[in-house]
Amino acid sequence: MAKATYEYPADIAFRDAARAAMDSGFRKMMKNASGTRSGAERREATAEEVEALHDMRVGSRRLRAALAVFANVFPKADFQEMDKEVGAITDALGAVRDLDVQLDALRALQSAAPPNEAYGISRLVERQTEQREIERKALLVALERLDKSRFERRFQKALDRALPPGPAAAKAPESDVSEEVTHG
Amino acid sequence: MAKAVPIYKLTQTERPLRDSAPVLMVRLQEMLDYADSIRSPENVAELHNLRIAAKRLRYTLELFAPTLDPVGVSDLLDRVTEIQERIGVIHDCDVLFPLLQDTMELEMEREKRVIKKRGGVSVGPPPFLAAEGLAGMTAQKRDERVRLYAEFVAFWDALPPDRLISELSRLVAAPEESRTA
Repeated sequence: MAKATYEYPADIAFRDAARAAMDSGFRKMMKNASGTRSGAERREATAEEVEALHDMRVGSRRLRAALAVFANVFPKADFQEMDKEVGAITDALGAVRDLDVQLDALRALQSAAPPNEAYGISRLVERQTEQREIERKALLVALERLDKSRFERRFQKALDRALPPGPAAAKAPESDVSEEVTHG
Repeated sequence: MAKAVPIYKLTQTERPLRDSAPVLMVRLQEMLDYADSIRSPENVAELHNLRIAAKRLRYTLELFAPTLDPVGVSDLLDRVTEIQERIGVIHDCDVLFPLLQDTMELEMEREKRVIKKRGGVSVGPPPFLAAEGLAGMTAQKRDERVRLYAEFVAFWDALPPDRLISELSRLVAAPEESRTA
């Protein structure tokens, strides 16, 4: 049975659900921003940093899905700005994450393959590692852009303006618990 | 992929969230719009689009889940997630094929240049070893793709997709009926 991602009451008002869902995605995303950034600053990320990047991507995707449903609680300009920025960071995170997953799979194949195949796969691994370098640097730029534009503060303000925090928002889970599929 | 319908235009901000649940039918229909094209294994882009649409449906379903029958919604979420995962592993193969082909060609060219530079004498690994190895892997991945695709189509037919419509319709309609009863 699938685990619940959101835990609000069945009769929740549209606006309260919007606040709870967006708080949840936003928190999950920003909570992992620092780990993602430290991983993106180096060629090799630690396991924890790889996980932080994955979790930040999950948060940003859920936030995008919530924005798509709850968009009309925001002034149009606020919505367009947030959607664009969350979309850009989701894409940048996705490009690195997809290569992490692919490289893991290729390395596993390489270690189990006969010598001629292993050698061929090693060439592909080298190539994709270089591609990851390009995407890693692009992610760093995207993260810096979020920082410089004070995205976190602006998003929080836009959310507070449209949906003042209330009791329902307090029920939003600290982090959503459902597992994200690997092939994202 | 086709742009998703902006479902926020169909939501009701001043009512309970539950009253906007019919937007789920829009997301389901977006996924089913690709159903016919999966009959051909060559429709790689359509299959990928179906996966993206399944993902949109899944995330939207999660948002409405607390307001719907928990057993029905969980069952539906499991199936939508499985659609997404099954296509995901097929997509991994589809992403890999052009990379394998390109790398094979690049490696053959590189090795030719190395041999030529050394006056026709091959030093290091046997010539075209990388390309040979990648050809083996390509064949293996092609077989895997054929198997995964056949398994996905069997899974899809067993759903069957039409039942998803009736199940989601019931799920979306049920609490409303009980409120007005």
